[in-house]
Amino acid sequence: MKRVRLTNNNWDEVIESAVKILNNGGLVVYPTETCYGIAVDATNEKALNKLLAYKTFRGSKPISIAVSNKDMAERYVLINEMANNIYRNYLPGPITVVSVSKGLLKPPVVSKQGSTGIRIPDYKFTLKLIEKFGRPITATSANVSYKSHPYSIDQLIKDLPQKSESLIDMYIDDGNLPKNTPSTILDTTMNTLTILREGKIKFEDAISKSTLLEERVTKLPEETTKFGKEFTKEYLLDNKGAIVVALSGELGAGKTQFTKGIGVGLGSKELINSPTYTIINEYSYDGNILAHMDTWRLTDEEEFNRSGLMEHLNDGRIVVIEWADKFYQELESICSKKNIPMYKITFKYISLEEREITIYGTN
Amino acid sequence: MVLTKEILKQKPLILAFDTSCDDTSVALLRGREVINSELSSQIELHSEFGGVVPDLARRLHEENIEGVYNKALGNNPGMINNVDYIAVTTGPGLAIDLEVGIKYAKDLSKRYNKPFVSVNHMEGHLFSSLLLNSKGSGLVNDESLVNAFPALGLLMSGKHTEIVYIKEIGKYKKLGQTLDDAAGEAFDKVGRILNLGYPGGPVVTEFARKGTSGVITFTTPMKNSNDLNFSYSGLKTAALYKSKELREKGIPEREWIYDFCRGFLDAVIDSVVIKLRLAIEKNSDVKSVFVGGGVFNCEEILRKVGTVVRGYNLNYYYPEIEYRSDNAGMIGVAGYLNILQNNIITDIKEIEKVDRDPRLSL
Repeated sequence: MKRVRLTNNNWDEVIESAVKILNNGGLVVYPTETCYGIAVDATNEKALNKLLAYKTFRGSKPISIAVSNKDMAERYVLINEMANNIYRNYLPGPITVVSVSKGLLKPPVVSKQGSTGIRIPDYKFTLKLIEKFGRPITATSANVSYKSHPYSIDQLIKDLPQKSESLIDMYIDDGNLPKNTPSTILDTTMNTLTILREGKIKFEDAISKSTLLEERVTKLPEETTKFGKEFTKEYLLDNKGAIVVALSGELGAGKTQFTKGIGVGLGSKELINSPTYTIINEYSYDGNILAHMDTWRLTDEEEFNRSGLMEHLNDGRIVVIEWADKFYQELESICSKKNIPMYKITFKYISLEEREITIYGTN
Repeated sequence: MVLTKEILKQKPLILAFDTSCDDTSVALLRGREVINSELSSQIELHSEFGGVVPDLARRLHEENIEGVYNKALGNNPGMINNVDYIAVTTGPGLAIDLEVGIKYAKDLSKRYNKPFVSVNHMEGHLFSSLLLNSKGSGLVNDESLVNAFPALGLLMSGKHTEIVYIKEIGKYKKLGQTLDDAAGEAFDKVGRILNLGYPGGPVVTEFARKGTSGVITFTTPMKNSNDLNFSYSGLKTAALYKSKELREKGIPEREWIYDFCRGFLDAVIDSVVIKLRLAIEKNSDVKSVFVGGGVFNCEEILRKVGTVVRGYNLNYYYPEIEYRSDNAGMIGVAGYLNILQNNIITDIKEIEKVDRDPRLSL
């Protein structure tokens, strides 16, 4: 193994050696602003397998990659509006951006869900190395499983099992690295404007074919809750069997506040709060259960379908769904197949305090 | 139950499961000592860049549980015969997720004839600071634990935000909770509002470090409510509006985002500190404060809460970093406390009847 100390004068030759090794599928330890990483050619399957062996790996957890600029990233992933924002404003920097892979890369640099994490390290030498290499390198820290992040080559070597050590082809030693916090991971594939827009269009289309039942402007969260209570007394109480109440509106538009009113209207004594994390909350009332769902954290139809929604509907319950437009198509087909009435309610901001809430009936 | 050092001498081998949310987790403990604590999202590789990559765990509990179980047993399947108790989260959480862990635990319990322990996930977070490493050391030794009560518990995660009065182990009273969004959730939503991505906690916290307090401010929620409830949906809305305003003015994002995150974090911390002080002052008999939950991954919140607690001369008990987000280690220790109180089920028919309780509360 070659251990080379980086100086102000030897960048070109170090890069030349490293590039050669990477092209041959070898492993190179390199410095970044967060710690020492270990690189292989991210597009080379054999090299990736060698890396997994080095890491003493048996799992399928994805490995991030490092590129020298956004153009290189764009070859391999779809950069949406959110990711673009990060590339433009915060990279190079200690942020790993997760985007949908274009299909050129393979596991383990692509996750099961088809996304890849990309870094542009804020480290001049490393950026030059990647630029010269012309392809992405892996951006995983150089330690093996369960060992701590290495901030010096000596520290790294001390913690390395013999087997792993023998796999390294080069150490680029730039001394002790500052103990900065590890890179922050940002998943930009969730709740993108495109995904939300698609759902919204379908939802709006369905609304245009529905009857407008009520519309109101509320000036306080309490008024929104009151509206929910009145809606419930008018439309939900007399109904037997499953009902879907589909809520659509942006963050803070009043969906949960309205649902509090539904709870009150049904006679539930429980505190209704946001189901964003739990996905579905259940509240008892009058010997029944009110199901309160939020799709915000659900990533795809598969997750939506195995959320437990069907069980609630099959049990004939009232199910309130926040961000219902996100999976509107699936929801629509479930309701029409099972003949379940669906109320659609939209929430719009008029000002910081005021909301326009519109209730549409089932077709 | 009042704990004594004698009681704490018991150190049964406990296998604990948690499938209540995103990650699948299994842990092996001897009393309070963790031998192994495994998460499907971290298996094989120490999370090299911090935090859980969200698309990983994705609630694929059915697929993950076998592998995580094997890892927890140290890849030594025969180990199950030495286990004394099987503990599992029975609530709160998404029913369909809880069921996977419960079923797996029940099957093991019946097959290997082991007593079954139902665990409340929130109790796990509350006592996550009690975990010791395999050599028996940790923040709270037996003597401290015996003398810790009555105490307050502060739980803050993506799902929960609660303050609890702990008279003694097994006797809890909810003093206050969030009326709408949990604290952790507020961070995630702000991450989205700022067009940064998910999860929001780590990036907002990181950006806040680069910002200056007082440049962009948000009203501290529930400041004057004089009760112990929290609310973060107003702060979320204010953040949405503020960011729209700043964007409309055309100011480049990099010029305001750090101060924005700083202002947001300050408001959250302020709200927690106010409620904590009120809780301590209203319950002057407490000797310690236990904290838990993923929001405490934010070192600044962890530190500032600690400063307040110590300012009242109380003990401050918080979990190690690996036990702040959901994990089975904390379920194991909460299971241990249940075992000490003899809250266990040995009858097979009774074990069979155990069902998920998605609305379980403390």
